[in-house]
Amino acid sequence: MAENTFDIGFGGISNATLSHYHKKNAPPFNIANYITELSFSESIDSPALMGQMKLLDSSGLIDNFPIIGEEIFNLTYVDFFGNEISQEFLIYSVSDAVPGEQQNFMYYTLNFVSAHHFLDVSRKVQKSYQNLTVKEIIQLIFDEYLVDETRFPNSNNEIEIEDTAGIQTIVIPSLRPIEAINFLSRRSFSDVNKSSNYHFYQTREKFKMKTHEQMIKDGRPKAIEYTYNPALLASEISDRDDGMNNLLKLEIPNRLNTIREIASGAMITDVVEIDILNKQMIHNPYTYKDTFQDYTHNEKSVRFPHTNKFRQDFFEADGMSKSHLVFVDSERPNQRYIDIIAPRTSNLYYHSEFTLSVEIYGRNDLFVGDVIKLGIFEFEESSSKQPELNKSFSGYWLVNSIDHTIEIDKTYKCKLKLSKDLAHGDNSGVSTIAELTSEFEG
Amino acid sequence: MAENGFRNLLWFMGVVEDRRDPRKMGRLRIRCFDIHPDSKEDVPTETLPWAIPVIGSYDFNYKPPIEGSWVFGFFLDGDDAQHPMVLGVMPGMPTTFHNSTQGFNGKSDINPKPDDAYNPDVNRLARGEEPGETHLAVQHVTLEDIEPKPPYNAQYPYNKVQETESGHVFEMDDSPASERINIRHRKGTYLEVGPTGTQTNKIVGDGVTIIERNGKVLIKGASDVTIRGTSNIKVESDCNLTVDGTMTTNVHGDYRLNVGGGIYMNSGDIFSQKSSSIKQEAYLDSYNLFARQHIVSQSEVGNIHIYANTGFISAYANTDVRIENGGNTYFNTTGKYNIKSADNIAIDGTKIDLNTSGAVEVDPGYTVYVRGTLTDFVSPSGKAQHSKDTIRTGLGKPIDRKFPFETVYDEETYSSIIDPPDTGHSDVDEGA
Repeated sequence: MAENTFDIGFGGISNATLSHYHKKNAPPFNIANYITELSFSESIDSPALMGQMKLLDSSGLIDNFPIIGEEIFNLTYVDFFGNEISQEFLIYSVSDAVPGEQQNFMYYTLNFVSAHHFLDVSRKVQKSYQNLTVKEIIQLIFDEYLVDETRFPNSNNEIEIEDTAGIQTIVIPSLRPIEAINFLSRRSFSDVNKSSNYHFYQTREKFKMKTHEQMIKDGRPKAIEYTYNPALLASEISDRDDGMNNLLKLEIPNRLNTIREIASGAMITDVVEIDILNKQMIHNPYTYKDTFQDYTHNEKSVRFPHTNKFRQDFFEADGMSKSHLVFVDSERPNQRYIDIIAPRTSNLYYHSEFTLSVEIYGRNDLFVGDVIKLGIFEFEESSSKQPELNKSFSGYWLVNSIDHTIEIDKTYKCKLKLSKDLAHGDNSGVSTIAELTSEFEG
Repeated sequence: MAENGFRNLLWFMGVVEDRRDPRKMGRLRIRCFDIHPDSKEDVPTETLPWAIPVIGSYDFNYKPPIEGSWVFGFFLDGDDAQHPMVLGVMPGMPTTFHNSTQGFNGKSDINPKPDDAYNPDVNRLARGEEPGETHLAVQHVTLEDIEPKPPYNAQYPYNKVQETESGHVFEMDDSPASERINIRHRKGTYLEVGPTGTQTNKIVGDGVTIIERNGKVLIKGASDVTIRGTSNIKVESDCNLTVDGTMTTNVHGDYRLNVGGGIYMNSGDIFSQKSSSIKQEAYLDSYNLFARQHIVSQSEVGNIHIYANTGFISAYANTDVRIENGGNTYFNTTGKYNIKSADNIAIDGTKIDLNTSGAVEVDPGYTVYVRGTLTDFVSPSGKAQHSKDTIRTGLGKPIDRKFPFETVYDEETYSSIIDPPDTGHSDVDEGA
């Protein structure tokens, strides 16, 4: 329970300074008063924090400082709960410059990114790693290529990597460090989380390389609960914490798309192994129906997406619409293409098929990869009886991305993109219900 | 990984660093430009993925490019770059000496050779440049008397050369007016077909030819065979040698002809044998001589001996039997000596001396004529008039020889008994 006097939705910049890269000991220049709006984003599909701030500059800062695209931007911001986060970025571009009518000021946008991104674009990994797990290789690459405490002493260089199975020898083929880690994450197999759907991303807290299953496992026990009552004004909310946990907006960009689902191969696919030296072509058919109970889903009870008849008629009757060719190198064990590709394809798809876009008041204790729990009532004409929660929209949602916006009026809002792989189901529907009990509660 | 075929191949160019494929399937380890680093510390050669060759010649026994070769290919898995395939090599001219501690260098000590800097990868023999730096120099030095000079006169780009790292060479040379085929072993053994079709086959080591079935050789011109060592020819079945012209065999040592069966020598003309000494022996059976015409035995300075060790000697002639000699004639026998004639018997001599320990019987069926003076006479009553020793003196002593006895050959050289026929050919020795 927050014990503060901030208004609901409060969030503000505590400190915003620019420093010359080449004069790190010089006192930083405070630009907090120049900023009219600041936003930045994080995503489980992005290994960097990127943002922009709109400045109203009446002192010729851009030319006098000057801003030349190598400035270190230190930002500290606080949320309604008084939680403060400090981060270091680098300015990399100036855009949307518009002079004031009297030419006595200028609007422009400074774009910034986490320092690791500068290291990433300036470096290339051309190296072989022998007899290591993918986790160990990623740690080595991260430490060698994405950490530079001399140049960026204030960067947060912590990384959390989920275990991977199997020893590998691999040559990184001239990839940028983040590309290399993404490359490795696509080749990672987890004995625990069968989807092998690894994501490498940066939160405001640290870097992570985890499967979405592990995110759900870790996130569900500490899921923040939100309700949706758009008619409720902040001033009418008696409990300030309740106010902070009310969705400001709710949109449903994707609910389902059967055509895309068929074409994606998420339901049924074939991993074709080509072993050139041994002159073998091996088909490895995969059906989501047979394996979906092996995965950790957002919900304990999920509804399989289709009826048996439709699945048989449109996913199975005409063969497989999608296949994946992989090349087997028998001298490099533990590639495990079959175990990785098809499950990953399915899980990636079903985590993109059902998504929500919501807006909440900003808070510094919510990160991408976390889980929130929504309580959304049925979208029905009101009746006398007590409204019931909509089973599809309510429940646990994985936070895929967060766009943070701090405005000049000290409001801090976040737009979240949420995903749920399979809808909560029950026996009243047309499809199968699967009770998933294992590890549901983390 | 590819979806629905290969749509995102990653093309590469690189340098072969290892061709010693443990699976012996022609794979190569290639360090690819802009994909792999120079540093062998960051990416040791042994960690590079094996590239599978795409063999455009459809010949699985292709020759993998040697270390240091520049090659071109693609990664089947695109940007992941873990499954390379190599399409072919690119010729060039090394302008730096290779350094096997650095990437993009062949670790082989064969290519690029230190002295190959500034020399194109295309073989010297194909370029027709500085052939003296090749095996041709050695070939000139080791030329045998009968060995033709190397017909090499290659002009670029007509000579297609394959030279292995140890020095084996295979050339298909289409150079105008100097067309050749040359297959050469590094030790110097070679087979070369020159522009006129002349073929030289030189073996510097031992040579073995084995034909599992029948073999035929046709030489339309003259043929010379020189064997400097011992030659052994073994025919395990029949051997037929046909010579349409004259056959001359010159043997500077002995000539030993050993035949398990019979020897049948047939000649349409004269059969002439000439030797310092001739010995013929039929050790089991008869020795027969037959001549349509005469049989002549002649000893120029020695004797002629005819012995029948256990049998008899018979001479038979349909007409006369003549024994003529310039000296004495002796008939000596331990048995009876019989002279029988169906006609008259005439004995002419300056003196006829009959000497016997027994009686001399004259038993004519008709009259006995004695011409001349009858001095000594023994009457039928047995009364002697002279001693017998006085009568035998004219015959001399009897021959003291008994059969068998060893034949004594005269070692003196003597001339031909028959002149050789004029064949119209000069003697080989004279020609040589």
